[in-house]
Amino acid sequence: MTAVENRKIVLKGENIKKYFPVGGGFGSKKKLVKAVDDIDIAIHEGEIYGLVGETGCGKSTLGRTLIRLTEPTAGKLEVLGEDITHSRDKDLMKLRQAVQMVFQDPFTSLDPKQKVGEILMEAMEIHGIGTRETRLDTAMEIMAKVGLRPEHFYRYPHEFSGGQRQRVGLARALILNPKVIVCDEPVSALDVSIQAQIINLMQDLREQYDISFLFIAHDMSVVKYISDKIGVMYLGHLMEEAKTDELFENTLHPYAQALLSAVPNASPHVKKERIMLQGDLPSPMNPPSGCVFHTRCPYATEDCSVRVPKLQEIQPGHKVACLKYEQ
Amino acid sequence: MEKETILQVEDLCTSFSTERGRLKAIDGVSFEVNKGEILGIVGESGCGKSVTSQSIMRLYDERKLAQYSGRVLLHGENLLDLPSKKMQDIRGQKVAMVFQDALSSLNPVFTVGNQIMESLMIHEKCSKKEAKEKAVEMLRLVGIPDPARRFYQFPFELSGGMRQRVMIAVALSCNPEILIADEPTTALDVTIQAQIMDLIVDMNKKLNMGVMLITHDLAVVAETCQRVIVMYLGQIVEEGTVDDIFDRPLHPYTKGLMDSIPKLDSDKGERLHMIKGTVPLLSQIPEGCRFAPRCPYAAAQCFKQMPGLHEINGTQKVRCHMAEAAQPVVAD
Repeated sequence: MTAVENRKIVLKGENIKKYFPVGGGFGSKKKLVKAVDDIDIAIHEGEIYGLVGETGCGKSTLGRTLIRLTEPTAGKLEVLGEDITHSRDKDLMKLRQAVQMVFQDPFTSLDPKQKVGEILMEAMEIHGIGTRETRLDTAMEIMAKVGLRPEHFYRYPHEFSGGQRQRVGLARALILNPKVIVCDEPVSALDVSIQAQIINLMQDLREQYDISFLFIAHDMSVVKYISDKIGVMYLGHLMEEAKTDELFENTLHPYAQALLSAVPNASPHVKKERIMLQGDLPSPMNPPSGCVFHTRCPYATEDCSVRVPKLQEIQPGHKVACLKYEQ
Repeated sequence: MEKETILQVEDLCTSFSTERGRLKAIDGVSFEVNKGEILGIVGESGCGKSVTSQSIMRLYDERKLAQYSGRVLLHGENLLDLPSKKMQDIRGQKVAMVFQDALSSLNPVFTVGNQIMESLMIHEKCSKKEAKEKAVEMLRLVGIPDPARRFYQFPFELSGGMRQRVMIAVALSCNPEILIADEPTTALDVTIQAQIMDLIVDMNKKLNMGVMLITHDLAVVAETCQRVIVMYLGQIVEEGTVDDIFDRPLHPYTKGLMDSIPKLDSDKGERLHMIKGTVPLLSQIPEGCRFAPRCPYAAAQCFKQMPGLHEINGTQKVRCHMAEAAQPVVAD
């Protein structure tokens, strides 16, 4: 593969923030959950960007905010170099065509009352692409690409297994010929043998169509296998970002180190030293001051509870947000 | 070390009445659990691994739904023959269970301390005061900070990892001989999963009980178990030590499973192996070897005759015609 980072940026977020208000009922004070707090992210053409982190770290919110499924509280969004932060109507429709999404749960993300063919053709109708006949041809073509048979066109989602439903989800995302697909835990609900089928399919699609993926997942071995670059999130912040091999060989952030060391390896002979994190994830409603990780960090100093570390490039292409590495 | 078998399962079959008639969810499962060992049971959804564990505990409604056959021997006593009252004494005291979803398994209207005390007072006939002391002690043992305060909290006030620890505390409170852990870490994050698995291994060593770990995560099995059973469509297809299963898998299904997971050290760009097709429905079990329609090595014989579970070397058993035929090569 040619150096991905020299290619065009297809999806970009600058200083993205997403705060959700909670409470504020009678007599209680309104609070903010800082689900995504000041994140910069850029996905290049043909790149698979893996976004990892534990439950509640904000990785799904970031994915949804990047494609404006939820509106960002602050920040700037760009798709194919165009500012789309405040686009409306027609412009937004164009964005929707370029950026698609595949959801985690193939059981709830497909309309149970629509046949697969209708699900696929609806998007083209909305965007006014082709005539009825050409739409049908395109739908059939895409179905073949993702490994569905022509007779599946007239079936309902409930007639499919989990893996096949996820194929329908992928087909629906592909039908508008997007540049980027945001996948939110696309294989977590699947059995390993089915998971392998979907992962292989995604790689084929990337090669054939040069599509970029934002791959959100919590399974580190899957993310390592599929991604070119990985970002590690913790409590709404991006802690570390590097090329996949670099991240695994030279992990810098203490949180990323602990996270990677906790991943079990499918070989009985590899015994590795685990870094056990103390305590649980703090509530995002009441995040720690300074570095959000300092309450569980084995290297935390007094400074960490006061100053917020910035995500800085320590080595070419390797960014980390930790005071340990700040000059 | 001399093996002391605690639990012996012989030819266990469980069938359910459904609209489509009687379906055999597990069919002729035999294995044993020894003192102090961790036995892993792996397989994909619907392979019968959970049905196996729930059948051992007899958790299904026997009057309407389920029918058991075979034998489940706990120290030689067949649990399937026991009257349900007697079975109540076994559950929780001799054989304890930890479920996947701690939030729906714990009672939401009682404090966690109360739930630990309950089993102590029923099984160990402790007084309330003793039970409370012991419950706090159990909470401390499973690594819950500030146990005296946590004792009075409700399940919803705890995080997922903490709840799973409480479940383990409840399960271990009466010193069971067997702990059945059914996907204990599936709903948890990797860092919390590591903590809980360490706790289970630690408790297994300290209390020297037998542990049945049911999971679909092969990596967890590789790290914690000594022996492994692989199930497919209600049958055991392979059994062996961890090294057997991970280094020399004999059954094509086991091989397929091993190759289809991306490993942390696997090469990029290399395609993942796929097992073709999907798991058939229980109402459409194929004739002959159940894996034959999806097996890359299937021969004519495989579609006609069901292979038995045969011992290949001292520790490894496999249910496959081909592996048996290839035995001299395998033994090398």
